[in-house]
Amino acid sequence: MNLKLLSDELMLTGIITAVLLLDFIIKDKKQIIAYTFLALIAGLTLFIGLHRQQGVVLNGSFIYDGISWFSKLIIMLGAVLATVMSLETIKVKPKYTGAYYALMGTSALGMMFLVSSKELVTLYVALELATISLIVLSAMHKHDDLSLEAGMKYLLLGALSSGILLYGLSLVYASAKTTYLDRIMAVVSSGAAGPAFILGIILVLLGVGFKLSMVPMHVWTPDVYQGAPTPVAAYISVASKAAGFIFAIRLFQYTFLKLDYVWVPILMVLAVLTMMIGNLVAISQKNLKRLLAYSTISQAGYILVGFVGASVIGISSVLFYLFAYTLTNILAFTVLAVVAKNTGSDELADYSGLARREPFLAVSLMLALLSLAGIPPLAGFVGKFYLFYAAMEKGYVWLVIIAALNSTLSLYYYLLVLRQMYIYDSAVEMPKMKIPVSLRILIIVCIIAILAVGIMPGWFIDTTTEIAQNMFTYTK
Amino acid sequence: MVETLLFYVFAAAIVFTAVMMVLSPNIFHSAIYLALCLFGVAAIFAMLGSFFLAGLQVLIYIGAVVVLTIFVISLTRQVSGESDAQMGNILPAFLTAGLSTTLIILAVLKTDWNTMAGESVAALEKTNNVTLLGNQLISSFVLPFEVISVLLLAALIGAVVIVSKDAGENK
Repeated sequence: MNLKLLSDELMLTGIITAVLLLDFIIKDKKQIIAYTFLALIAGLTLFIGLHRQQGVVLNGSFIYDGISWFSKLIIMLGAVLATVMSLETIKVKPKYTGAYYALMGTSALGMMFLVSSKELVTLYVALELATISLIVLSAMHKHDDLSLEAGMKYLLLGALSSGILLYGLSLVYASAKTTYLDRIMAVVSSGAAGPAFILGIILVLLGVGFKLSMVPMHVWTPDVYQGAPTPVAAYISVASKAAGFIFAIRLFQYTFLKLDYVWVPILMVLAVLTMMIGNLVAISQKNLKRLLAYSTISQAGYILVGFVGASVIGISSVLFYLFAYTLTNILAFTVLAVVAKNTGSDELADYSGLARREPFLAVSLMLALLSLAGIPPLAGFVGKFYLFYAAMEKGYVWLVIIAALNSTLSLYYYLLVLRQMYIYDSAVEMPKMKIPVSLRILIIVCIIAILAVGIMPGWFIDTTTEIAQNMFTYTK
Repeated sequence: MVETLLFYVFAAAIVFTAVMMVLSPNIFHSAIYLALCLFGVAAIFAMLGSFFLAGLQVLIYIGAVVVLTIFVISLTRQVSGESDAQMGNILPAFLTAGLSTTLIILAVLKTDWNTMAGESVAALEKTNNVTLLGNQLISSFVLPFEVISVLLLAALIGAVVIVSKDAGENK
């Protein structure tokens, strides 16, 4: 067994242990733990980025291939950015600081296992590790009823979707009599998939849909995003969604690829519903966090459009979009966190006149929202274009047309926010906002990255394409 | 013959107690029905030759989960004659449950289980269940086995964080 392939996960486990031990040793000045955690996971992200590996262990149940490398990078990037955001904005009692960052680490660990495993038991256990850590993180603002409500809803609906997923997986296992994805794929290829297998696939699809906040499993999203601490909401919206999509890619674009006549039509209908419901409900939102929640639901719909597209280009476009979307969403949530720290509110009405009071924040939020809407030359434009191109390659013109119309529709509510910031003015004079240096740096880094990815996407697209091809060629 | 008869007896008992668990007006009774239902599942495990799984089912689900549930119920509320049932959504609930059950049963009946590739249960019966399980857990499935330990740690930290009382909160 080649333990070197597990080095990223082992190091992250070490970091979690270190955080817990530090929490035990350091009695006051708990911020030290946060900075240590940040330094360690930033180092780990750098290590993963520079140290790509290739190989399988344990009879193919754990794989380190291109796709797991890239998604680990997205997950760790999400964790690092969310940690920077947490430094100044979370309102957790000092004695829980260690637990907060440790749970951030365990959820990242779960997602890292999730994107690397090719075996059903490991996949499920990793998914649960990620979800349970996120549930606790959502409920971390204990003094806030909304936060507790978020944790509760996440827990109950997460348990329900886990149940559905597990039932689906058990039907798949009962039919294929193996839990290894490669062997299940062999069973699928031999054409021996009976009705129970098909039903299992559909249930799995719904169970995974919870992580993707795909309609009809999306109901938790707005409440959790609104109630959870803003960095946690940002983290759920990027890392957890990315891990969910990789899970879906491993199952559907790889294992059940031969059965695409079953899941492609279902996913197409669900993609349309996800976009429509996300966008239409977003229009009437008065709370910016809820608005962003519905916006992420519709974003999941766009990603699904690319997901059902031609296999290599589809996977490549999904990976690219997840990367662009991570930067964009973190930027939007960071601005929200700064404003909420100063005004204590996420209501749209409190953003009136932000452009005059805080031009820096207003411009940053504008860039993030325009990138989400898909306006060139921002990262979101290239990402969306690529997703739609993947669907076009397979000839789903109608789906692309609906997606493009939805994209226009989404511009409406993003512009509503801009109107609030730029045209309306606040009735009462507010004191100058304090923007912590760490968050200022975070915002600037995200803006530069969004522009860089949007203007020069070539290198990133080459990377994701190579990775997507790698998944099919490297199976061993 | 006896086995088939016993299977149907236990299956009927499981369905009956499960339905009663949902319909029972008293949450305390629901917990008891849940225990009985899980006991029926354990019996079916035992009939299939998985005595170890049957034992685990009794120990973990009945011994830990249901007992804990009963503790929680008796600590958080007074057991009274009042009804806890919420029957507002009973019709949609029954429709959903009925439809999905029918779908699952149809799918399972329509599947030709014999043509499926893979190892048959008969081959496994010759080896000792518990030994096999133990070996698998630390060889093929060592990864999920270790991930579960982190999962338990995370759950433990989470539970402590959420339920612990902050200083100054108990005024």
